[in-house]
Amino acid sequence: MKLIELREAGFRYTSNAEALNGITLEVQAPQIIAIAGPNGSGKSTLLDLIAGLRRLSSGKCLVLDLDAAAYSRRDFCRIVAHVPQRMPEGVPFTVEEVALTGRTPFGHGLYDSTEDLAAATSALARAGIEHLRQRPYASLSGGEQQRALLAAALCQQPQILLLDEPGAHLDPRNEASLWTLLREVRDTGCLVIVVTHHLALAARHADRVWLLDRGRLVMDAEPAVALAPSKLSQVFDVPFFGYSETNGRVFLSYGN
Amino acid sequence: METDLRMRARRVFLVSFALLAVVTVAAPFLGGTGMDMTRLARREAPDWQILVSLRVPRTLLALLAGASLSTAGALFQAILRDALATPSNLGVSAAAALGAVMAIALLPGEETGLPWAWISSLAGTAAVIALVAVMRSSPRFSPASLLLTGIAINGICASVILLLHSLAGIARGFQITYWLMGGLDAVTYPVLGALAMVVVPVWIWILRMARVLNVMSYGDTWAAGRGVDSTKITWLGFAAGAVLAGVTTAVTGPIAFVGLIVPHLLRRVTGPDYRVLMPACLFCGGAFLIICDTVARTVLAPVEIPVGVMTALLGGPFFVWLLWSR
Repeated sequence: MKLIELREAGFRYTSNAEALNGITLEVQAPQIIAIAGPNGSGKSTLLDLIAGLRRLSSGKCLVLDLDAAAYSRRDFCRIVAHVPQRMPEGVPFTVEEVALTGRTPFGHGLYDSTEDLAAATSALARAGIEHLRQRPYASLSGGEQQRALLAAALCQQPQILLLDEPGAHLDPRNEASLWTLLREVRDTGCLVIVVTHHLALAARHADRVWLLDRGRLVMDAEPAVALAPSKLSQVFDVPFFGYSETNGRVFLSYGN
Repeated sequence: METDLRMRARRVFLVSFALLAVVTVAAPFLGGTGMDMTRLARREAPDWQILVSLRVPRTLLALLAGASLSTAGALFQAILRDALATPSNLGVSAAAALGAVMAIALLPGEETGLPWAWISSLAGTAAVIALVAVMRSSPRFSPASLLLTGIAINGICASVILLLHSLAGIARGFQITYWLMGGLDAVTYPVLGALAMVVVPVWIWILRMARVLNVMSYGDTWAAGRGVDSTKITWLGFAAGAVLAGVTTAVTGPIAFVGLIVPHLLRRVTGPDYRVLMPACLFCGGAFLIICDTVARTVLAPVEIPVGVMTALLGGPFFVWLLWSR
């Protein structure tokens, strides 16, 4: 069974500007996939299309071999969890309440069930923020907020986890620990797809990279291949340098 | 903890229900002219007639209207994620008033009552709600633009109401003026029954949606990622709020700011969780309008202040304070 399959997927904004065109790819096994590319290359749009937050203008998106559009929103979110780059300002809820929103696709009554609470406790522990559960979300640091959002997504117990630039506001320590957590999530059998600008961390932690340029998929390969300095120099229009480690990972740097 | 939430919800539910029960039972016995309990016990005129035909239906109408306006305010605030969204500020109440005034001024017959005033009022409400919903789906949507549009709608409706009033002639003009002051008097039990049959199912739907409204308050993207069809919920929410504000305004006339004052004061006590807040809004909204009406008809007795004037005098400064404290 394919976890995700895109066939000639395309997306146009209402202004008719083309954001993505002819994206064809498939994923069969749980792994970490980094979506990389310059600003405006369509990374977040591709993630939104997979998350069902935008409708395809052309082509198909299949999730677990079924057309994504055929799922109800509730059923879809039992399989796929999406974490946006940030939440609106002033969310007035506690960390536990934020995490429990991840149980919405499973909830039937007005209140959260014992299973919901157990899932929230487990998700908060996995995200390393169980001690913050009663803290207001708005009072947390950027790194803690990112973990709270991740806890909500884990609470959804998804087979596919989508994250839009989760490390955008994190310092190196928090970002490194986030990627470690994503590897743990992958090891539980979950497909993790991450939009990122941090190519060095993608090179270190991702199993595969989708490299986008001007709305097209220019590379779908292992990091050592997709993030080859020559390819990145061409796509980003800035000189990239790198060398390979013995484990096949690459170290990257860039600039004139 | 979740168990804390359940206990808090139960406690708030019981306290607010008890408040409403006490106020509902006590209000009919309070007024400019005192009640002779002996005569009441013997069901003698005029006290018995005043109680049963005037004060009890008036109190029940205040209950239904207060609960509906307060719940509609909290609902709009949840869907629009704007603390200042209420039926009045969005122009919904003004459009409902315009609809009802059009029915009073333009339809043939000596006096236009239900159901034409209701239908016309709902049509006005629906037009504004459709406009708000279209605005919300626009990428240029912002709470500020919504509020400014509400101001414009209020202005336009007020102008057209004035025009209709000036063209309506003396009898209908008086009827319009009286209706516009917002009042709870002279309502019959069949009208109360009809109003209850419309608003109670909507209340129940809103209470059942409280958990989803919580998720909606995180924003559309987050809600959609948690399995909520936010577009559908938004439209249903607007429709529910429009029905509550429209039919209530058609019966009572415009009563402003209930949907602002009650949810905001209650949020300070209950917190932001709609599973706790919504039932409190329902019961305390009813109690609030009953109290306002009781004060309005006793403080200058035998003269009665229209309850719409009372809520506007309270709500206007509250709105300004809320705007500046954001």
